[in-house]
Amino acid sequence: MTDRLDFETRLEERLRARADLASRPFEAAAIARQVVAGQGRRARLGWLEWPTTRLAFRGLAVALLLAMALLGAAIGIGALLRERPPLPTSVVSNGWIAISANPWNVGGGENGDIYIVSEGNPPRRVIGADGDEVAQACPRFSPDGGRLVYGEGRATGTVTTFRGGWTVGDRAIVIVGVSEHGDPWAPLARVAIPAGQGPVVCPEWSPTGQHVAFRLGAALWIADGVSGATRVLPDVSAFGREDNDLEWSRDGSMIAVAEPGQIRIIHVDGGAPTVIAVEGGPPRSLGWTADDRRIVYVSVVPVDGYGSGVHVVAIDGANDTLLTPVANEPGFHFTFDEASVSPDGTRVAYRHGINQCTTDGCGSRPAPEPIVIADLDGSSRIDVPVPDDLVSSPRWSPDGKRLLLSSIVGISSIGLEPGSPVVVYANGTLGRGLNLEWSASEVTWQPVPR
Amino acid sequence: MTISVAAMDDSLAGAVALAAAGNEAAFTRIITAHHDDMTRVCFVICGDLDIADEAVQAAWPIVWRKLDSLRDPDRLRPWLVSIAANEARQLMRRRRRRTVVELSVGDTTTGVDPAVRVGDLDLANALARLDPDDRALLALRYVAGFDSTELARATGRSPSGTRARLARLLDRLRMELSDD
Repeated sequence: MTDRLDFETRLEERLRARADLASRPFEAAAIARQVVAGQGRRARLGWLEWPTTRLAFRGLAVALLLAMALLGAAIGIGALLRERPPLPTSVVSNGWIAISANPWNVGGGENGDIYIVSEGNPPRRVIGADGDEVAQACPRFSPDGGRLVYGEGRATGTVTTFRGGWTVGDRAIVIVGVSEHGDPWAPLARVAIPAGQGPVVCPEWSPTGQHVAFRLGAALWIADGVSGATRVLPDVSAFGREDNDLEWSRDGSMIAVAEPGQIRIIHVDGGAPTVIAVEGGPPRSLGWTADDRRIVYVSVVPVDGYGSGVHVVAIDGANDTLLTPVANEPGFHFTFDEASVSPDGTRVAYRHGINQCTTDGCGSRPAPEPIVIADLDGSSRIDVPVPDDLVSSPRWSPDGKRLLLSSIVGISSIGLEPGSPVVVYANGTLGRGLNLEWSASEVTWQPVPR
Repeated sequence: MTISVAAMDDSLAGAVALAAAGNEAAFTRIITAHHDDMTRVCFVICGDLDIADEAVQAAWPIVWRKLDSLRDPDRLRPWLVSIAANEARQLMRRRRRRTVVELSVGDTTTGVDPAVRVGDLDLANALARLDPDDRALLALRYVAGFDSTELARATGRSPSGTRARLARLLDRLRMELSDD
């Protein structure tokens, strides 16, 4: 397999060479003269392409939009409390949060160690070391919280911070025990992956904690969660796309894998897979409903010329329903992404983006994009306003009472009620926290059984 | 050709303030520094020199009108490139035009390795099959050198969504260019 990093490097060179074809002499003064003569300054619209509007104006706009969102959300909560029975008492609480982060200087030949983050404390590296030339990525706590599984690999070429184009050899998944302080206390199993290069493998625990599954080429590997004994289900993928989503059903009998234009339901104990056709490329954010009869997914097909929508479909492919609305106001477009089904399988949280288009072009509106929580029929919707920089990849806490937000600027969580304070666990970027540029989604929250 | 970004932007901070106040000479300096960079990005998005020029020509009046909204002069370059890229995307969407690159027999005498030429044509055709938004993402990342934060701001998506989209794009191109 050709090194993906090499491909990215060559692509960059070729794109730049192609761009060079456009370099031609131009007359700057003439352009300026024409622009200045033809364009008197006019009041700007203020919320286009780039969030650099003056602070006072932007602050006022944000405050107004926040107030509107809070009011709407309060009304939504009222309706929710009237119409919904209380959720069952949670049987787990929230433990440590682990994330894979890049070193600030990747020159040591590695890309990714695993850190524990917590409120009020600096990030603590628990797996990996500077210069060990081994990358650890995709950590996942087991359902009982007592084990951690992750993928590891050794760089085979130039290492960059870009996870998507980074290729490793000596790949494996590793399972370790976890102490009450979040430290790995013992290696339990290491499943080596046959020779050959590829991206770091990302394993997923079965709901029972008995197995971990991961994609490798066209195959699905299922490893015992204690011994590491492995069996391979060959040819579960028609396309060999191991970086697409994989999600266990709640009873552990099925695994949904995302493929271009379809979701394949793999029956763990054998039998022909069920294929659900969906529009577009590989769907994202797969999640199972409480009864394992339906699957939530994000379609890459734009719902109104932009972005994507959140769907739910029966596992026989019937009743594919778009849960998210289409913008009905001229000039506005909605995008919905990064859906996450709640631990009890009854609700879904997703990110709601808004683009505004004018004659000057289209751009994101610099208002906080809310995280939306809704029932699986799209009803009982709550918009949870979240600070702009933190809106990314909402994931439910193990107890189902908070949403974990992981973005390039940090790791945080927020309660489900609009107006809940944000709890920050780690800063990203800016050179003073974790380097989360390409690994913000590789985060896991430890369940702690009560 | 790559713009020497940091040093140039630094020296242009004063020009931004002057241009925002209506100084044409300062605006000319900004155009001098960034016009070529914007055109290169737009060309990768449009695949057509004339449309790329049109996009950049459309971008400068927007820049002139909104320059006083640029709070951080250090962000001048990504701001300008984003506006131009946005114009290019809109132009392509309006025209609903797919650029097909054809092999020109007359070009075989240029001395360029035919294999390289075919590779370039493959790339051009692969780009032409992409959505303008995807071409913009590639151009902003690899031609303009945007980091993921700048990409997210310019495309109106989250950083993680942008990264995922970029990774999928790379996979698609890799398959289409038969690079495996």
